[in-house]
Amino acid sequence: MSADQLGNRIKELRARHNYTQAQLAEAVGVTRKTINTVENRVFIPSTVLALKLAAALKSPVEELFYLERGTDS
Amino acid sequence: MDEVARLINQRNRLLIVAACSFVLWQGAWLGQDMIADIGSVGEPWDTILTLVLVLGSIGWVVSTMLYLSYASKVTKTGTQAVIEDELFQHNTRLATRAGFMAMMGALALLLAVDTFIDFSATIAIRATMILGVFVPLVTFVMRDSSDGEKAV
Repeated sequence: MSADQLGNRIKELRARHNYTQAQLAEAVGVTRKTINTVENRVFIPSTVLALKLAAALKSPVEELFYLERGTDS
Repeated sequence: MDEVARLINQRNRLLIVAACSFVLWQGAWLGQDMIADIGSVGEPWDTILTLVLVLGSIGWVVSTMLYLSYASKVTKTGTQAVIEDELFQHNTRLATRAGFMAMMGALALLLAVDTFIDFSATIAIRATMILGVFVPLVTFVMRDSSDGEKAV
């Protein structure tokens, strides 16, 4: 059985708003590296950062982040 | 944000220099402790260890002073909150955990070795301390330097 994973649409929404990773990072007050690791699912952000990202990308947090169900075996 | 990236790179370079200097300094001291335990090994090795110890301690002091100067630069530029963001806190926690695991591993190994070889407590303490400082610093820099591109 594999665990559920946190998916996100940051890259997609960033492109829609013409934001670079650096611009989004500046908007939410973190480093570009943090945005990159969240976008690539290396790092799971806190609720506070998730809400800040959602606000910066003008999108509901549940649209930005979603749960990918793990497979049961 | 360029300023932030520059400061992060500067911090990581300083941490690596500090970690290596600490290993040289305390490693040479450890070597001297071990030699004292087994008796003298002759002039060239004593001199080399003393030289490495002095160089390492100078490196440690210089990197500590440069780190203080870096910290003041971070305060002046008002970038501390960005530099010490969530990812930084996460990497710090993982690095601390790695250091703890390394120290526990070293203690287990030293206890096992102690069954067969007698050595002084100073050697065990210094060896554990070297790992306790080196492993977290290097783990932090390695994690912080990986950009997250190798993601899922």
